[in-house]
Amino acid sequence: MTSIRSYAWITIALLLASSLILLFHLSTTNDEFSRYNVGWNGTSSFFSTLDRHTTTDVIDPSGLAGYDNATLVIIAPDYEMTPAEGALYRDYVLRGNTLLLADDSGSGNTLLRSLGSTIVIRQGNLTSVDQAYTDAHLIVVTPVRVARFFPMGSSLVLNRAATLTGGEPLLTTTIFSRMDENPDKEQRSVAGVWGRYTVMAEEKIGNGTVYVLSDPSIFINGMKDPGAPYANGFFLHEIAHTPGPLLIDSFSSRTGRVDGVGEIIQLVRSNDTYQVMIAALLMTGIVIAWNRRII
Amino acid sequence: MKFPWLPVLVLGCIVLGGFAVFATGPLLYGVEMDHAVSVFHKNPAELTRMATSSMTELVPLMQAVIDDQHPIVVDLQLNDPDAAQRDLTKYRLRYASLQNMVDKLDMNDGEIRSFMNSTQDQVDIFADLLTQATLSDTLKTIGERREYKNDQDMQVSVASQSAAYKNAVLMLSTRYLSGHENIMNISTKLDLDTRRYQETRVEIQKFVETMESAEVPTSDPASLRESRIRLLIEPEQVMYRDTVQVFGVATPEGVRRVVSVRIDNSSLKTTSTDLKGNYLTNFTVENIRAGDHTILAGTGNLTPAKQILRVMKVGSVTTLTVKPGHLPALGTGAHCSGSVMANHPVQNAPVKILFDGEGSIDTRTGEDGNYQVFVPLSPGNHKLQAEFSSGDYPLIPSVSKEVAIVVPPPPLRLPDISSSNPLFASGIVALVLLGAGSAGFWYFRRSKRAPPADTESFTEPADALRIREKLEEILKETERDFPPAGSEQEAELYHAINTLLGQYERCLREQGLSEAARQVYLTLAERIATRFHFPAYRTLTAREMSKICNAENYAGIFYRFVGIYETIRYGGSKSEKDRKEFEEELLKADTEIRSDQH
Repeated sequence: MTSIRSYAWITIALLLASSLILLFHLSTTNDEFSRYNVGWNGTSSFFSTLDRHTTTDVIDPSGLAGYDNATLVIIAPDYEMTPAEGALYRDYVLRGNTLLLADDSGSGNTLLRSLGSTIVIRQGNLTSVDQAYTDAHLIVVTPVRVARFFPMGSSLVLNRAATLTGGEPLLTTTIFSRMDENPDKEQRSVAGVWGRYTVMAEEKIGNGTVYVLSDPSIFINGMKDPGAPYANGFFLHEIAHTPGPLLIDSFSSRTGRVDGVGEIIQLVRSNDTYQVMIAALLMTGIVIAWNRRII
Repeated sequence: MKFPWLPVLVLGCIVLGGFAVFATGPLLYGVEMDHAVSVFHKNPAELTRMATSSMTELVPLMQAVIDDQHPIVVDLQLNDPDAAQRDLTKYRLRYASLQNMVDKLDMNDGEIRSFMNSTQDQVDIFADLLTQATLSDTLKTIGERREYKNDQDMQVSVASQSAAYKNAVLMLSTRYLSGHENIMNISTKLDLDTRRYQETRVEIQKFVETMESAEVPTSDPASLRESRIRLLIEPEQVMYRDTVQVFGVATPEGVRRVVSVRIDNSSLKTTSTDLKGNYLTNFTVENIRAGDHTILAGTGNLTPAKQILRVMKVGSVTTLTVKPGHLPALGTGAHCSGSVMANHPVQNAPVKILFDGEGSIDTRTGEDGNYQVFVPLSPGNHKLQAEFSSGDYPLIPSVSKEVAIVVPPPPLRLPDISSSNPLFASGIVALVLLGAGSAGFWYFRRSKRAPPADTESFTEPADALRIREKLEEILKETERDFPPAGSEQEAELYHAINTLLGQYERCLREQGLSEAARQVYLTLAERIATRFHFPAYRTLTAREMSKICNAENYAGIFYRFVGIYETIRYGGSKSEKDRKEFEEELLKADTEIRSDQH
């Protein structure tokens, strides 16, 4: 009897371990900017620092109603909003809330127009002599005045950033920077006019404030800690621990993206009812197996 | 449960399928595996790794570059230009590696740049010193010629070139020492080991001292005022790939002149004189036919000077190695390789591969004299031969030995799924794994059920044996005297066949109490073992068997049954009391085990 049950238990333990690995694997993704991506280009690290008591996932713009003194973070949007959806974001800002948009693809321009902002994200190849990692696309930027997200005198590293026009500049490149507005297909070209380019700007709209950062890659796992002289970690910490409620946009942002089996697993993980149902099913299975002397 | 292994098999398949997906997924994500180009960002970890690994390689390479100068200077000191040339080639490769790394790390400024510039200059200095050393040898050889003493042109040229050589070496050494100081400063800062590099400096100084102390031949000063150009070549008799030194002096001195060197009225080289009128160049004998050739050196309106160069013919050897093969694009055929060698490997030589005396394919040798070509051939027997027809080379033509091969028919190939849709490829892999798993499972079960036919010591499984024995017994009974239907004998027979007690009574009559007790114990044990899916129950003792079912309802009854069974079977008891007790316990155990199973 002992040998039979040991055999069964070992088999079950192995299957369970394999299933757990499989489940963990399936629950991840390699989508860029996804919070479920644990690789270098995912944002799992930033999302793991968020306080679940003060952070809310906004899966629909109608969920923005009723918030005061809140900060909404939109990272890497890839959805062109309709005027109706844009109006909901505008109402949210006009009420006195803060919106932080991090985008270099240009999708955020639709939202900025809906908000009535003058800030425009301009795509192109931004390179700089002041660079990190011996790569001209990983540029070093510095604050031009005091702002809530970074200490004065600090500098940040951005990764293939775009540039901004309009608004009040907060972060700019050094003067040894160039912007190639007609980049080559591989985005490797280094050309353009030397000068100082804005990469983060602020604009007051109604009672609220809109911040635009022209590089969402600062949120990816690989950029979390670029080294001691750079304040990337401080910047992310300030956003994660902003005063008031923190809202994370999953409606238009690429951070909420997960597909296939991972989508089902994340759905179950985010829903208590599903979790209880699955736990009950598992318990039933175990009881049946025990009763039928399978285990 | 009819198929207890089915859930395990299903779960196993799910896990295998999961791992198939896992193998192509992103969970174990190494930066070195990341080749994806994103327009949004680059992988900083990968950039860091590349920079770090390159930096760790940079300093050792710099050390090697400064150390590798030493053997070149020693070769020059020992008057071994061939060895010096080999070491210089090696040094150039080392320097090129360092230059690539510096470019990759974008370090083309500051001290690294200064180090690189000075080192590059030293590469050029060594190349010039080597040329000068070769010239020195040439001048010595000419000075030893018989006609030297009577040939004034020769004396003028040798004297002038010797003075120029001395001057050139002095200038080169001064340049070298200047660069040496700069490199020493940078190397010390970078904590490089400079002992060997210091030795190189000492060797250079010794080389210059030796050269300065050498006696320089003199010539008649009046002849230097004549307007004419002189030409010397060394050697005058050459073979394939020998280097010919071409030099002389154009007088009067004071102007730089352009000198064109021709061979049989074909242009060969153009060079220029220094202010003293000395010129120096060389060429390598390659595509020059054997025989006498006129070398001419001319400048301006001066009458060209000429010398005769004799090119000797050298034998060549062509080899051929053949291997049957198949290329997807060309079909079946033969991989042919070989070489054309003379006194040196024959470079860029035309080679014709002849096959079956009816066709041929042309190819050429490389820098090392080797060639390689695929000759498409139909499956079957073939004969091949390589032919080098020397053409313009000063070489004797050669043909390889004939090689016979058998070209096999094209191999059968499985379809390549590596370039297909990843999902399709994963599906194929999953199917193969599933098939292999199922086959393994089936084989395992089959091997457990059916023992090898050639095993003499085969023992029939207990269940099968008992069933077969029972069936044989019943058949025998039936054949002997099957009782009429509804008779008392038929009822007894039914009782004997179908109840355990009946079996016991029948066995008791025929074989005695001990064997009857054993038979009924085995029947009960078989029932219990079937319930626990434990076919090897006969390997257990009766007590071990009772432990297996100690959690069952009938455990106590079976335990007592085993106790009295052991008294009869192993204690040898034949007492009436024990027999009655055994029969009572047998009835109870039979009833309880049967009811529990139902």
